[in-house]
Amino acid sequence: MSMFWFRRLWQSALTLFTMLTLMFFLFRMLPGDPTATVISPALYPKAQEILRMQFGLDKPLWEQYFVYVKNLSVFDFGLSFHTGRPVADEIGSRLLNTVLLVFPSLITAYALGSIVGAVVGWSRGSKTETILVFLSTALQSAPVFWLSMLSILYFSIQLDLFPIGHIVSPGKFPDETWRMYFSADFLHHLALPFLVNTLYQFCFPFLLMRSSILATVGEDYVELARMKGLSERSVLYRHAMRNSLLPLATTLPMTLGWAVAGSVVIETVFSWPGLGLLMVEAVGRSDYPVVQAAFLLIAVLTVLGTLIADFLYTLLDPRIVNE
Amino acid sequence: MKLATMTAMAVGLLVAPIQGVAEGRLVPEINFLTWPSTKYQHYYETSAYLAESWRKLGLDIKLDPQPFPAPMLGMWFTDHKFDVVMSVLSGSSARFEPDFYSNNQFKTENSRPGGMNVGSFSSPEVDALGARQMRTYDLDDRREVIYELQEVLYDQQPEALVAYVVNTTAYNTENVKIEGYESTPEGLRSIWNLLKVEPLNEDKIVRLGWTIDQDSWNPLSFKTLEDLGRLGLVYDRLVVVGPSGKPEMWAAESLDAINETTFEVTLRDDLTFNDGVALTPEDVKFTFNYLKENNAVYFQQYLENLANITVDGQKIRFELSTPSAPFVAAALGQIPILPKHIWSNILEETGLEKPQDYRNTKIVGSGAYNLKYWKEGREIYFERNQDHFKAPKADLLMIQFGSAEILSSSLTKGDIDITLQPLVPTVIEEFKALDQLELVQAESNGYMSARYNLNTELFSHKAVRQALSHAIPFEAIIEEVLGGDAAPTPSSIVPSNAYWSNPELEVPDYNLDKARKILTEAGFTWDAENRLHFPD
Repeated sequence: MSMFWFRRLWQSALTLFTMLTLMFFLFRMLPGDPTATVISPALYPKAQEILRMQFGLDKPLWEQYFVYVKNLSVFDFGLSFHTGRPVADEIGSRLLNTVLLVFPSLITAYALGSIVGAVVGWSRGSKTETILVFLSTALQSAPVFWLSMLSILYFSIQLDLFPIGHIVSPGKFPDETWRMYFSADFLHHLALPFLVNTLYQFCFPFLLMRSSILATVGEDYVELARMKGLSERSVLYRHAMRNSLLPLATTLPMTLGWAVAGSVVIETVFSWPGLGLLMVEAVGRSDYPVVQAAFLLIAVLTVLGTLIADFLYTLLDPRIVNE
Repeated sequence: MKLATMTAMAVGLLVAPIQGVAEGRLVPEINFLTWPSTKYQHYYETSAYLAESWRKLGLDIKLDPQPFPAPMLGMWFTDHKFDVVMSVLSGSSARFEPDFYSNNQFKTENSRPGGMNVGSFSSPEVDALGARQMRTYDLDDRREVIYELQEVLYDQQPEALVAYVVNTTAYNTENVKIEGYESTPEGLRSIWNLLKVEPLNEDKIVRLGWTIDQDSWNPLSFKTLEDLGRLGLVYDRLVVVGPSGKPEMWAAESLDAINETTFEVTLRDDLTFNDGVALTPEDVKFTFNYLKENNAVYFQQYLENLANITVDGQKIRFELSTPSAPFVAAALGQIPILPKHIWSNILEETGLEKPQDYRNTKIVGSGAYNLKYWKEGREIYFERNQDHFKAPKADLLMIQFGSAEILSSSLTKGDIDITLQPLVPTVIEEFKALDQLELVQAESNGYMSARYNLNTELFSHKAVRQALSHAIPFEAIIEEVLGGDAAPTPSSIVPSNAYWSNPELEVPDYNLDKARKILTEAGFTWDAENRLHFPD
């Protein structure tokens, strides 16, 4: 392994460690006694005491921190303050739902965004370009909960094309969870949040690809391809677009964490039982262990995404390692 | 009313300068601990209305909104860091037990940190009556004591009572029929109403929407009232608090108080767990001992007083250490009867370290419903137990929603039949116009009040508290802040708690003139800038 990779891995580890330390103390720096949020004061004092001991909240903060780090090193994320169950179970039961919602729409958005962005950028000044640029800028600035609500109002309630939310029709899959994921009912429920999320995620790669293409339009190799007598289509797809992919290829993995974090809003509006909805609930009831683990997961995804981006970059442009 | 209010205010302002030269010390600034306006706008606004009204009496009030739950809860219940606190207590059937909102909140003993007497109110009369009602087991006799206790509290005014909340929920009359709806604090969530829900469809399933999922099914470790409510569907209890607040027999056939510390319960003989095993007095005895020995988080406070249980045939005898009439509603009325044959060897069966870790999602219970399945974060299916003595008419499918707005839309669309979520005022207006929806009201037995800290010099004056009781603009608060979904109350045991609330008491009228008169008679004075001064 080269020095470059060694340095990058070390930096990533350091970032994660700083992140988890910051998170631990930040949550506990919120004003007031953190135990007050965990343990209802309306509870009987003795019951409060027992709970405090059970969650280790009776120990000094630094001791709690060391226990936290020690447990993390063996992938023990502790117990949820709220349900008393292991955090790993809580998150594990929700993660797949989020992955199924977020990743397909992310990939679709990037694929579509780059193609449409390239075509639009290529035909600069056209009406389609003006409209699309305006629309995607507007879309990207619109709050996603508002988009989701509007789409439910129109597509689910007025047109009755899609269900109002949830992962499957309630009461339909009482026994087996796996069968549920392969049903038409699941796809029907997935459709609307998928579309909204894809539309929302589409804007960034679209705008990025468009400006990236614009930068290559005047390049010599494009001119050369034209002079060779290649068709316009071939110039765009085989030469201009390929060279404009670099920024996209590097941003895609970096948005992994962001995409999961972004699921918070969509999942809440669509009653989608994923990690995002869990995070909303956990923050609402100050369930630190769950919130910390979820944030850590997002941090890990982001750091991992950056590593992948670096790796892709070295493939696409090997100069970076040597420099 | 508006005219009267304005006249009163005008008179108040006129009277102020004539009151003469202030003599005593200036009343210091009053810290009013309240809720953050962003998330709890109604509560914050209520405190702002109170403050505005009290300022007219010459008080210098500073609103102190703090994030909820932390640090507000700590300042409110543990540290008592306030002169006045905006108290909002939620209702539940368990809180129909009259001790909860009277003696429990105002007895001297409970003013320790963490206790419910957050304002450190202390009155020998209240303590004596509080102790007496604990020993009085005959319901009607006890009611007399509770009435008297409310009269003393009315005179003492340990808090400024604002209102109790009325929640509105709705159901779709095309899909379900509910005959004889009961206005309990839980509304449609109450077992008394759920049992009456009759589906008009073929498959006998009723779909109910809610935003709160179950946290725990384990009777040892659950903490919330919502969890308890759903445990009450799958387990039987000896008695169940009825819609009027009076305990009704359930798994118990009869209940007798032998003496001040002994009860005898006769158990019904037709009770069976859903695994086919009969429910016997031994199960009852086991349950109470088991929950006590394992420090069940929610029940511990009620079980500490339990000294001994003995069984004789179908009879179960409960012996208490000290007299406690609330034991009936609070312990017998809430504790789910567990099957001994399951729980006595749960650790051996599961290999768990402690019984609190048992998830209990395959519930063996004897209740009116069986928990068919629970899909966490998605849905809960309660299958009706047709052999139960209160056999329900429908299976219940509780569906989890991420947002209350979407839940309301689902009801109009017909995706669900009942909303268990209280509706917001704008939605109520919209729903009233829809023919297929029936709106029902749930009068909470919880209430909103401003609790005074009696350790402060100002509020240790009874006259101040009495004066302020005439300076609560409750009509404006109910109409303008709470959207009309509330009603005033003269007692902390609110009128919806029909059996126990004292009907003789009247809500003090909003009259600043009267308030000033009371303060003047007590020797308070105002200076030229209309600031209140202590008596000399």
